[in-house]
Amino acid sequence: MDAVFDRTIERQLEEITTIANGAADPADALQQMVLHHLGFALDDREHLASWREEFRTLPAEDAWRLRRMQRLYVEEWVQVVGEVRPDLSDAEARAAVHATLALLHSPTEYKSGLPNDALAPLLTSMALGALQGVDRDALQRSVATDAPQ
Amino acid sequence: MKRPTQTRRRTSVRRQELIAAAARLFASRGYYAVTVDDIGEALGLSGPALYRHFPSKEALLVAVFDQVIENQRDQIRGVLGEASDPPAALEAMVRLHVKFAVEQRENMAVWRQEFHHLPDADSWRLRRAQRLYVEEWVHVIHELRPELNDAGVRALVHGVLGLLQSPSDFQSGLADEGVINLLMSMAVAAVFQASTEPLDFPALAAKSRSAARTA
Repeated sequence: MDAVFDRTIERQLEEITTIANGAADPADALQQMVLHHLGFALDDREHLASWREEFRTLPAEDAWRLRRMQRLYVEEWVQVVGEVRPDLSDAEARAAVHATLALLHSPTEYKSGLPNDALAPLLTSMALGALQGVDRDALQRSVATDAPQ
Repeated sequence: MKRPTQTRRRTSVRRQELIAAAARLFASRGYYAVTVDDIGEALGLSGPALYRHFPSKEALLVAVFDQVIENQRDQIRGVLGEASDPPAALEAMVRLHVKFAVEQRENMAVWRQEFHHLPDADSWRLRRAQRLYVEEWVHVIHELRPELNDAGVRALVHGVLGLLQSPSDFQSGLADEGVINLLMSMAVAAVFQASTEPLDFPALAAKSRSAARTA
């Protein structure tokens, strides 16, 4: 099993813990987490795609340990999103976190050619906007009316 | 003797039935757990009878993908034809894609896993169909966010599609309607909030101040 994989997840987890402990408030923590995750997705663009494949073929013991670290990583996100959006249930916050992470991973599947100094603000503003925009009654209201006039 | 057109029509009906049965089984039990015999059984067909239409399970998977993406393109053309303005078009597209992602969550995961292993001709055709689908999104987003350049619009579209497809990686346990609401509202907000302007975060300012001090 790829030791780089192991070390990377471990490092990710340490870094996010540091962010969660040191942030001024939940909104600040969220901004930092988005930037941190995006940095990872952009730097490790190539690796992320192959890891996703590799993950499925890991020995049970490794998969178990790595999934646990991944869970702890996601939990830091869920906690912060729960603070920023106390109106959401735990399951809603969790689904929103996974959607946000999927958004931030999009550069691993698609190379737009947009330089990182434009791509990073683009995806960061989208991620934060998406989390602010979570609306469980979207279908009752027309979401198109959210468009700036 | 049967007239050839009739035979062909019957063959095509059978093919459609097989594709539909395969799609249902793949979606409910997962591609890997389903055997060709399972698919045959669902229609009361023997293995050899099925192989007359599809040489392998993979061929059936390709047929399912072809049909899914074909439907998606038909539907997106339909909703775009009816939309009164770009915001309404966006809402309709988001709704279409998220419903698709929720209903087809099993197949989406298979798609991602199997796509790289498909025969070249199939992956070429499917990629082309996918590109044309994405172009419909690009077109609408250009209208809505004219200040973004083309690469920016495309990066935005792929980000939104990633977000909308997240149910294939994570089963939240929320009811489908709840997930659809949640993801639709997130996607629309992401489209309108997207900006390539430099970020103005306190944490970033603090970081660059300390970098300047150490420099």
